[in-house]
Amino acid sequence: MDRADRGNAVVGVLMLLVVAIFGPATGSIYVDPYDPGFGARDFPVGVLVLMAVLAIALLARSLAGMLRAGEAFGGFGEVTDFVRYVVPMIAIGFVYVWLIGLFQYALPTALAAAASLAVFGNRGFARLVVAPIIATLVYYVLFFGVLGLHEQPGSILAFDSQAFFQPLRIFLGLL
Amino acid sequence: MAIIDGFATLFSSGQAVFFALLGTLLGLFAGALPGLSASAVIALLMPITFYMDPLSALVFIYTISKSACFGGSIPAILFNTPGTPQASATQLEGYPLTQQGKQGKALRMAVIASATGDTFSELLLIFGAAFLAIYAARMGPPEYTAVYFCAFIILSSVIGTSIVRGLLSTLLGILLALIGFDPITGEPRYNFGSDYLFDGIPLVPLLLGVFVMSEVFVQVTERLSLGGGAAIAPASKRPEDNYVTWREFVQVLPTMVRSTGYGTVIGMLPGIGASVACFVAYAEARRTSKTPELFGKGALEGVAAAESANNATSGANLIPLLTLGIPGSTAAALLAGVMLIHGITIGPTVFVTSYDLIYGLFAAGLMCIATYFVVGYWGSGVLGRMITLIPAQMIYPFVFITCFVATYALRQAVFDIVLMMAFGVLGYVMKRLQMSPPAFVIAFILGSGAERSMRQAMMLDDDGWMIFFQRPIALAFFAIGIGAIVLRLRQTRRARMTARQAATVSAGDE
Repeated sequence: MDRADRGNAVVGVLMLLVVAIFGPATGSIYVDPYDPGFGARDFPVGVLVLMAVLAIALLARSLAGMLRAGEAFGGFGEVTDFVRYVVPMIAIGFVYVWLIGLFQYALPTALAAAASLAVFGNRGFARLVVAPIIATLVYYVLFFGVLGLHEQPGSILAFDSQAFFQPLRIFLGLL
Repeated sequence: MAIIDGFATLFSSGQAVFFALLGTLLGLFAGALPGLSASAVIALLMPITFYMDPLSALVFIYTISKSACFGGSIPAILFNTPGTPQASATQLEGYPLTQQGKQGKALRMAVIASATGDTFSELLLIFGAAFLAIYAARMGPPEYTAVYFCAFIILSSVIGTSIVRGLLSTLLGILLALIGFDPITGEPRYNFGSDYLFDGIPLVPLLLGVFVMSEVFVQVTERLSLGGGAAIAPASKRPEDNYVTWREFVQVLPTMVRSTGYGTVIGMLPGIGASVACFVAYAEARRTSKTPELFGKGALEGVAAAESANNATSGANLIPLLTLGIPGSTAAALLAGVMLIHGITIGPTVFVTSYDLIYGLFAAGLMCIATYFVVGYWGSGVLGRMITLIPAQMIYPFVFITCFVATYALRQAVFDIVLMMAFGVLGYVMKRLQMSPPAFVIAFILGSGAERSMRQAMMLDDDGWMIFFQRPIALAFFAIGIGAIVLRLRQTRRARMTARQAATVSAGDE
């Protein structure tokens, strides 16, 4: 099974999965009994049918390729890469969002920046401590100071960043 | 003249001029940074534009996309690594010139060709789009349905390596665009019981996820094979190796003019972007050259062809957006997103309803070309040296964090961040499986419009589908779409047969 066949098989399965998720939900789309012409379900059904046909064709072609080659599945190289590098980044993202709920934006941003810098292979005090602090200050002043974004109070640490940045916004003529 | 009004509008707003200049410089830098596409930078900066006035916001996004197209040629010429996909053809001739110590000549040829192509395309946009809009305004739902069909087919069949994967990317984009309210009945659908999906999927988390977060994931898995640490070959000490002589300019001028034509025509077609234009122009320049033996060894003609063609798409890309409301490229799709967010109605009426804004945008486009010409002509080498000082493993973590801040800035909803992450994974999977993220995004933007047009068209006539056969313009667009897919199928079959013949010959030799 070559790389293209394996890719086609994965695309086919994923697309059929999407069709399986959206298909049943299509049945609950409200249809106006007096709607002339094309009904409310017709366009989504058309898209889903086309997707299913193409996905099955792709899957059939890849399976035929596999049978012709008579080879075993080629391995999980991409999946290993995903688990090794992408999953830690996603985990950092979710922990970051969770920490925002606890401490508001500043502290979690510095921590998430340091963690993602570490995943990208950065080492040393300057890159893992100094750079995240400077970047957090820049983000914080830009988004919450200059642009005046509202911040939800954290459940552990709560402070009013709008009041904190009010003098800066008055100085810049934004208030 | 309308463009004079445009300059008056632009220069009456100090903020718009500032953002035009900032966008040009940012675009040059973003384009020159390998791995960080112009689309990613635009998506990243999009939430900031919510806080700007509409003209500044549009000008900012437009100038980034324009100058990034030229910026991509800088690392392509200096380090053999294109900063953007559209600079891939430039590197074929640009890097050999650098190896000969003629990087100054190559960079200056690139900026001259880029500015030439871009200026022609921009002038066509300024003087031609309004005329086309008059005709587009007469089109009804059947014609629009055909235009959407044509756009989807071209998007699916031309971008990427596989027609079926392209079609599936497009269909997935359309399907996700259906989440939210039915455009005719107004009833909610596909929200899966979530209040957050009641209004549909917000555009910004989708753009940030698919274009930016997915790129961070790709970079982290590839362990940053691109980026810092590259060294520029020493420049020649002969002055004529560092600039384009008048004789050389006259020699490449016909190639530049032809390539500008190819770029402009390709740019006008929805879905086919600068990456296709540069290779078409490069192949034609090689075929028609009086010195084809120089190609691959540092032919200045090759640099001129690729650069004038890829930049000629940038103005032309806006023609389908402004006349039909259909973005012709990813950059145009992002611009459409900014227009929608600022409440600007896209389509032929935009020349009437947002006259000042549109001509102000065109004026900013011309200003952007002049600015990147000046900066590029004298400062490309400096920019190239600056890029070598930036370690890529420092950039992407901050891009990653900026995605969160930018998504949160939209409406301060944690759900948007989760959505952005999900689309990041989807974009990553699509790139890995060689599906087409640009086709997916453009189809997502066009999806609801396509459905509305189709259903309105079917309401116009009791005979249902027959309405499309009664409209010649609609039939013409359907024919273009079918023609595009037939051509691509023939091309694919021919390539497969050639590969099979080559394999048979090599097996026979063994």
